[in-house]
Formats: sequence, C-alpha cells, structure tokens
Amino acid sequence: MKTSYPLATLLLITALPSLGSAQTARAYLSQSEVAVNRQFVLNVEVIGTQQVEGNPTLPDLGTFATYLGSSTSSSMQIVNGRTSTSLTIQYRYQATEEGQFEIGPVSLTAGGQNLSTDPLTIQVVGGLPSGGPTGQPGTDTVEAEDLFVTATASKQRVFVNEPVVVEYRIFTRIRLEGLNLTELPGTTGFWVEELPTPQGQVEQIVRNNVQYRSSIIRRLALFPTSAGSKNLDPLTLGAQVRVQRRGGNRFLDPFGDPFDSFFGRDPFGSRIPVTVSSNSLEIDVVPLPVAAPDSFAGLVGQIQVSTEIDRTEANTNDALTLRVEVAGTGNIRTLPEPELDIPTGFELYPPEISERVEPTQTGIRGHKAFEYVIVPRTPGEMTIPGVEMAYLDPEQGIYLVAAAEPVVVNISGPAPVVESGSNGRVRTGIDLQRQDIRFIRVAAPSFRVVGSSLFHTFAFWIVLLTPLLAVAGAIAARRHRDRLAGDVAYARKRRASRVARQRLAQAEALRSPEQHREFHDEISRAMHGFLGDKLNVAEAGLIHDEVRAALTAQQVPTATIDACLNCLEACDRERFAPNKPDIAAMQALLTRSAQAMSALDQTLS
Amino acid sequence: MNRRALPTATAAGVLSLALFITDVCKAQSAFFDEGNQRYQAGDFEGALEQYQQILGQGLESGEVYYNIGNAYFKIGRLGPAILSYERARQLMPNDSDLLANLELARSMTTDDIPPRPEFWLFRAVGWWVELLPQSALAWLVALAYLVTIAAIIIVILKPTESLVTWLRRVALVAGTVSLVFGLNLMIRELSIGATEAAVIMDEEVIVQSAPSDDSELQIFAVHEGTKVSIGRQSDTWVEIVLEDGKVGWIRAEQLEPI
Repeated sequence: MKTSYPLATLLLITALPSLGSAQTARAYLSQSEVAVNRQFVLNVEVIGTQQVEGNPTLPDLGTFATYLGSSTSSSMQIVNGRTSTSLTIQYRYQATEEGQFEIGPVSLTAGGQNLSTDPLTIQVVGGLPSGGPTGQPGTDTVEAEDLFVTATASKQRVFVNEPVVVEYRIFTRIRLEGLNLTELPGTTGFWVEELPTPQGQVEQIVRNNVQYRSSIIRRLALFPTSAGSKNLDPLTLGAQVRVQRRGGNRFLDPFGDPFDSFFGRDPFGSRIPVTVSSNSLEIDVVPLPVAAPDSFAGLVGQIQVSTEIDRTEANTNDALTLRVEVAGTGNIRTLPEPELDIPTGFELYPPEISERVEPTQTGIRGHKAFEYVIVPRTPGEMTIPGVEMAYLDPEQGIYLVAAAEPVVVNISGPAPVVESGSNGRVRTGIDLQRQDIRFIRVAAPSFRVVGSSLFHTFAFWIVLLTPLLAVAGAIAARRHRDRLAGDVAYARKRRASRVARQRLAQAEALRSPEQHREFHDEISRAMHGFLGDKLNVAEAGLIHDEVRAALTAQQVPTATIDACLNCLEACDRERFAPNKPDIAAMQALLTRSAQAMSALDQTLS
Repeated sequence: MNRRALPTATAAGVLSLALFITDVCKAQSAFFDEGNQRYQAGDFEGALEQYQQILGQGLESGEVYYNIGNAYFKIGRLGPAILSYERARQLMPNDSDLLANLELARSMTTDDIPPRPEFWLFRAVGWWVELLPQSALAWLVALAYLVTIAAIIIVILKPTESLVTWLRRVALVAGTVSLVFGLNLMIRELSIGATEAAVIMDEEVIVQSAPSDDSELQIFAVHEGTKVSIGRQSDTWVEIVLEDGKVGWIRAEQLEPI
C-alpha cells in the first residue's frame, strides 16, 4: 500500500520577470551515510533555469546501488525584486553494498551551456540505523520529536480470535511532502481485517505539551489464530521533508501562514527523504477456555441469531427459503455455516451466504445470512428447531449460546411415494478413492509337487482300477450264486471237493489199527461221494464199470481213473480183511485217495 | 479276489487320494504363514523370500502364486506379478480375487492389446474347462466315480426290485458327472489344446520379424507384463504371438513361460 499526501509543495507568484542567464549546477546527497538496503537520493540542482535539455548523464552507481526512479521539481522565487529559478532532479537509489564509494560528476546541458557537478562520496554501512527518523546530518536534520510514528493496540491481552485494533498514527511538527510505506509489519498468526482510514484527515493533537499535526496511517483489526505471545514488527515509512538548507533550525510550516514562511524564512528550503519507524507491539494471546459447547465455532464477540422462513403454509415439493441470520461483533467473516437440525421429510440444499461487515472502534461488527432452500417431501406440521450458536463473551470470559426461535411450517399435499431405503436422503454411489489389489490369501493352502500330474500318482490308479476290479468280482459272484441256485449238477460239482475233503479229514481221525474198518469205510464214502457229485449220479448205485465209462467219456486220463478205482477196491478189500493193517499202509491209502481226487477234480472242473 | 476285500481296497484308494490332494508336506505352511506376516507388515521383499522357499522345495499351490503376485505388485514389478497371477490361474482358474488383481495389474501395463473375438464354442469350452479349481475337480470326479461304481455293485449283488430303479438313476447321474468332469480333468492334466503362454519380463522388448538382431527387422515393441503365446522356438529365439495376432521373434531370456 502506498499512501501519499499531496501536501502543498509550491508557491506560485504571478509576476514572471526575465530569467537570469547564469546557470550553475550542483549535486548533493540526501545523506552521506546510508544503511544497506535503504534508499538514498542523489539531488541535482540547477539554478537559473527551469528546464534542461536532454537527459543528464549519470555516473554508474551499479557497483553499490540500484536505481529506483527519478522525479523533477522546479521552483521560482522572487526575493527583493530578484527572481531566482531552480530545477531539482532527484534520483532515488537503494544501497546494496557496504563500503565507501565515489559518485562521479553528473553532466547536463541547460540553456545551451554544458554543466558538470562535483564528485561526491557516500558511505554505505551495514545494519539499520535505529530509532527516530534518519536524515541528512549537519544542519539539515530532522529531530525525533519533530516526526514520529506510533503504533497502538486496543488491547494487550486477548483471547484467540478476539479482535485487536492496531492503529498507526503519524505525528509531525514539520512540513511533509509525501509519505510512502516502505515496510509493512508481518501479520503471521493473525487473520487481518483492514479498516478504512480517513484519507487526509489531519488532527491537532497535543502530546508532551507540544502541538502536533497527526493523522492515521493505517488501522487493522487483527484476529489472533493461536495462543501465545505475539510480536508485531514496527511499521516503517519513508517521508519527504522540506527543511531549511542553511541557517536556523526552524522548519517551514505548511499548515501555518504561508506568507509567514514565505517572507520570514529562507525561501530555499530543500526536500530530504527521511525514514521513520513505529514502535513494535507485543500482544498476549490467551487460549480459549476449555469445555466449549458443541455449537461453538470459534467466534469471540457477541452475536444474536435469528431464523426466518418465507412462508409457514406450503405444499409438498414447494421450495421454501429458510434464512438464518447472525449479527453481532467479532470475526463474523470466518463464521462457518450453522448446523441445521432439519427434520426428516425435508430436503436441504447448500445455503447461499451473504455478509456485511463494518469496522468499529473495537473491532468489526456485521451480520452474515445463510439462506437455505428446503423442499418438504412429506405433509404435516413440521417444526424446524431453532439454530443455536455458541460464542465466547470476551468481557466475561465465558461461553454463551445465542438461539433462534423454532419455526413451525404447515405442509399440505399428498404423501410422497416411499422409495425403499431413501429415507429422505439423497443416495449416492460409492466412488473408489484408489484402486488397489485385493488382499493375500491367509489360510494355509494344500500344496502339490510342481509339474506333477494326477496320472503319475499311485492313488489315481488305485481309485480308478479298484472299483473296476470290484465290479468284475461282483459279476463273478453273482453268476456263481445264480448257478448254485438253478443248476443241481453245477452245485454238486462245486460242492464235491469240499465234501470229499471233509470225509477224508474224518478218515484221518480214525487212522488207527483198532478202527481200520471205519477208516476204510470213510475213505470209500468220500471217494463215492466225490464221484457221485462230480458225475451227478446217485452214489449208492455206483458200479466201477459205469464209473470208468462215464469218466472216460469226460476224457479223464486212464491213469487217473485207475488210481480212483484202485483206491475204491483197496478200501473194499481192507474193510473185510481179517488181519489188521499197519498205520503206514493206511496213511499211504489216504494220500493216494486225496491225490486221485485232486487229479480228478482238476480234469473235471 | 475275495468279495469282502473289495470295500477295503476301495477305502484304501480313497484315503490315499485324499492324502495326495490335501497335503504333501505340512512344513510348507510355516513358510506360507511367515510370508503372510511379512506381507502384512509391509515387508514385501521378505514375504517374497518366504513364498519362494516353498517353490524352491518343488511344491506349489494357487494361493502361493497369488500371494507372490500380490507382493510383486506391491513393489511395483508388474511383469513377475502378472506371471505369478497367470500361474495361480492354472491352479485356481475361476477365483474372483485372482481375476480382479490380474485385471488391475494388466490395466497398469503399457501395452493395451485388444484381444481378437473368440468363437463362442471355444469360449464355452474354455469356460467349462476352467470352471473348477484343480483339487475340487479331482475330488468331484473321484466322488462321482465311486458313487457310480458303488451303485452298480449294489445293483449286481442285491437286485431287489425297489432299490434297482432308484440305484440306476443314481448311477446314471453320477456316471454322467464323472464322465463330463473326468474329461475336463483329463484336458487340464494333459494340457490338451492349451497354447504355451509367457509373460514379457523386460521393460521394453523390440520384436524382430525374424530370429536375428538385425535392426532392419524391428517391427514393433512390447512392454513388461504383456502376455503372449509362444510359437516356434530356436535355441535362443522364441516366436511370440500377441493376443491381437501380431507375430514376431524375441530373445528367450526376455520372457518367462507361465
């Protein structure tokens, strides 16, 4: 921001006598010593003319300073009938390097004459000269009590978000010819609301028994955003001051009687730039008290809340406007929208927000309106509960709640078609925030040998073939059972060996010389039974010749037939023999019979 | 064979099949669990190490390949991730998690190759072949087969009028199931009709029109993660077929067969 004060700079007298012909040029600096990064002015004054031809040739100051800009002013004064004119060109620079530097001559052409100024030296020092205005040393000085800037805060100790009004005010006893803010204090940690300043309004203020002219440069409402001790840096401004070039210490008084200054003082006052800084400010920010109500949204001040609805009778699906207005002091601008507890059956749309804020002595006051469009979907008498907003009263340091009256609306019209699951709310789809793979498998799996095939496993073939064998077995078993049931000859034949074996076993038990009759009888019956079963004839009527014929017909080898018949004959003979046979002979007969039957079984089966 | 021995032998067969399918080596579960824990802790490299131990022992499972794919995906290696998903797919073809991850991984690869439309009959057969996971298929076929045989044996041995009609139906249904899925299992096990596929492993591979390094023969480039079919092979070169039918040759080490 650049504030300029168009203070009266020039006095014009009507008479314009012929101009003098002798021109001289001189150069001088606003100050011979300047701090790094501060401005200094190279003045080139040409006396005896009001214009120069072409642009003056400037020395190169690039090694220690950067060029900022230039301005020209001319003056004409008549003293005791003598007219003197002068032209001053001011070149503004900013010093960049420390050290002592020489500024070469400036050459220019005025009134057909080539003029050149004397070289100058300048001392650039590090750091900022502190306190009070800085000006040209020597005779052309500006005293600290002649020009200063103050910063005042409305409060030293505030709550978070409680406004502090900071006012920067300039006091002067000397003539100012222009002001511009060169350094604005940083406002980190604050939410800033710039308050309007009365432009060019000058007050007369007595301070320390001295009368000053004073005006407000800048006013800010600062809302601290966090607790703690905050420091506001000084505000720095640059001013153009007109001072007496030579002689006394008195300064021209732009607000006083111009004729007094004109006639009574040295008319050749010169303008010099000075820099003034305000004091810095310390503000202690207290945190908000604990246990804030739910509806507290950070406002420190005093508010009232009101709700208003455009009509209280409506049909379903008509749009109604619900206006919630918050008025009061405090940081109204950052107030968020209140939480509305709209009953179900209303559809609520986002509000339209309007605000009007005006500054006051202690901060800002204003009002903020939230206009909601609500659409009733179900008929009936509906009550919209009053909006509640809590705030912190900084005077008492306690939380208070501002509440609005509830609003009752009568809705008529048909009940809406109930959509399942809608419940008056707007349903939305689910948006994927980010695409990601699904999670790993955690349960321990079953493993198999890499590259293995089911066909290479023993189990596969077992499972495949065992049932097939089982089927084959089942078929065989079934066929056997069927024949046993329906075919006597088959049945006897299948039975023959078993029966014969049983009889031979009995015979073996009787194998002793005392029971030789029973022994031979048993062998004979075994053989007869066997032959009868095998040939399917009654065993009682078996005649040896018939047996031979039947067996021969079934292609039993003659040796086998003979063996069988020999055994039978031996049995018959021994049964009726008078003397007892020995054990060895009995055993031999038993073996022979078994062998004969076995041979016969193999041939006949 | 004695009639009483038959059920005993059958039971033994079922048991040994079950043993084969469920578990070969219980110790592998430890690696699997450790890998899962590292994965959940965000140590994907460590998880990979554990999972690879299982494969190093000559054992595999769809879940292991799936988790390996996830771990590779998380460390940003799309080629090995897709390869692992494809390998898992051969063991658990219709797993929804697997298909979702494979699709996501594919969508992040550079090459967008529109596949040629497939004849509906082939698609149907493909659907049928991939309907069930490997072990479930084996179990189903074994069960249906045994039920069929059991029904047949009962019909043979105890031809009671009331049972026979009912048992015949059971045998018919179970027989059909075992036949249909037995064929499926056979196709899967013998890989009948399956083309050999591979996944590109290098970030970018220049495809040649012939097995040669000649720069004049460069025809196009494929990128990491693209699935290709393998055609003819020479000792160092492989003929690849893209899903849209483009054919070319690349070096064998630039891809990894599934």
